[in-house]
Amino acid sequence: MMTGESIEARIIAGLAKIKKTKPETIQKQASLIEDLAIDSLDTLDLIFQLEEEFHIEIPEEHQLRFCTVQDVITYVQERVGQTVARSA
Amino acid sequence: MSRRRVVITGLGVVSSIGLGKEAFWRALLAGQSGIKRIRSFDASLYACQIAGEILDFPAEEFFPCGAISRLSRASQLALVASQMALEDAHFDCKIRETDRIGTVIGTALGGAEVYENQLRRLMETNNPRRVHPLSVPLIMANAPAAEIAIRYGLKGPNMTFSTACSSGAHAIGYALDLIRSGRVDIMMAGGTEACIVPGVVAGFNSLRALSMHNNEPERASRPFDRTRDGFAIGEGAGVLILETLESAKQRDVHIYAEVAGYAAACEAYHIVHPETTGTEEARVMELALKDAEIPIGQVDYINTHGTSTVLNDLTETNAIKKLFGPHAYRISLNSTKSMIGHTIGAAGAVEAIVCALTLQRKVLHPTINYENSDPDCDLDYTPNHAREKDVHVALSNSFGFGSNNACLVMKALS
Repeated sequence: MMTGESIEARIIAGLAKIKKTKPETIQKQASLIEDLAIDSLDTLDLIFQLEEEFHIEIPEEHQLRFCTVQDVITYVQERVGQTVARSA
Repeated sequence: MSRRRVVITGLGVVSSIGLGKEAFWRALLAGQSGIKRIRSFDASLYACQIAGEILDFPAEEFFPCGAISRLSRASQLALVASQMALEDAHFDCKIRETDRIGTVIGTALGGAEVYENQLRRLMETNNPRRVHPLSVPLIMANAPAAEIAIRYGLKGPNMTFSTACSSGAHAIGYALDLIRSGRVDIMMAGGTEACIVPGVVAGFNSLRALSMHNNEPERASRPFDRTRDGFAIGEGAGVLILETLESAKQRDVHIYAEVAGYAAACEAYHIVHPETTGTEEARVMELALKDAEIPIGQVDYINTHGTSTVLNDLTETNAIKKLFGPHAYRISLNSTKSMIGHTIGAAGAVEAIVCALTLQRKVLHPTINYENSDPDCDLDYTPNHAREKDVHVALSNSFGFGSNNACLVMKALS
């Protein structure tokens, strides 16, 4: 069972990997584009990692919701929660 | 107007017997083999289970914080070799007019492991979404050259040569041509290969190109020996800094050797077999010497293509005898592949580095595993032991699948 905390840590670790930096430098309130300089290729990489890691599929229209790191965390927590709820 | 002279001022090499030119050179002189049983995948079902893998490559040290996930192994090896070469040449790109510096890298199979891994994912999941969005930019053959240019801001021409086993030699030859033409002043030139992956090893196996000395990996690559039975695949990268003699003098840096000539020629004969009389291989050597304006009698060392296949070593011997006549018996030959195996697209570059070091240090590394003389291969292959020799003119031969031949001429700077 994935806890909220582990989802958060794993997303931040994934972003750190994409940005070739250490996880502790990634703040939850950071803007993906303005603070982390995530470009379009980084976004594709992030979506791929999230889908792979959390066994979800993220439609393109949902990707527009991702402005900050927290947005990504919240989105995944919701989606994973739904998955757990459905399978329960 | 006289032609611009081009010299080698920096060397970077990553190989199964050593990282960096000094470790590499020490191992070469000691006759150390880098061929071992394959560790990167389970090769127990393969006819050939051995290769020259770089087992101690500290990828995380060179590419921290996950940067490695965005680079194929061929790119990683090339980036490390290029960093070594730049440092060796005491060269800081940032202080130069960088559009006068270009990059050219040879590689036969580019990001082979990425291609195989992603294809396996696709087959296993049957879900195209599970193919990584970065797979194409990692697989593409020109990724290593592009990654080097991006890292160092080299805005001159950025080229990739993919001519199988002669890729690295063509890259250096093209760099020579570009500098001579005046389009650039400095080139990063080399080759990289990391193709010890299941599909490629299986393919070479099926082609019957590989040695099957599985129980004695270190003795598998035995160029010019009568019992040779194929090559061993190796991985590695070699990068050289080439610049005009004028630029090297202005920068007051050490010069290893001059790249005096180059030729590219196609046999237009067969996709994998050489033309065994050696006429075509002799022709490319002759063209390179003409380009260098050096008489054949002045050649005193040839770093052979020397793969350890029956046909290559016979053909190359025939070609050398055909071109040089009686002088062939006075030329010292050796095969770097006897120790590191065949690094395919990197081979020509790694072997050009060997020539540069030989010209600088006046020592020939041995051809190891030479135990049984072959009456058809009767030249001096520097068997088993390193030897001092006052080498002034060196050739480096590279003969690729696709009938694709290259020869580089290097000489000590007088």
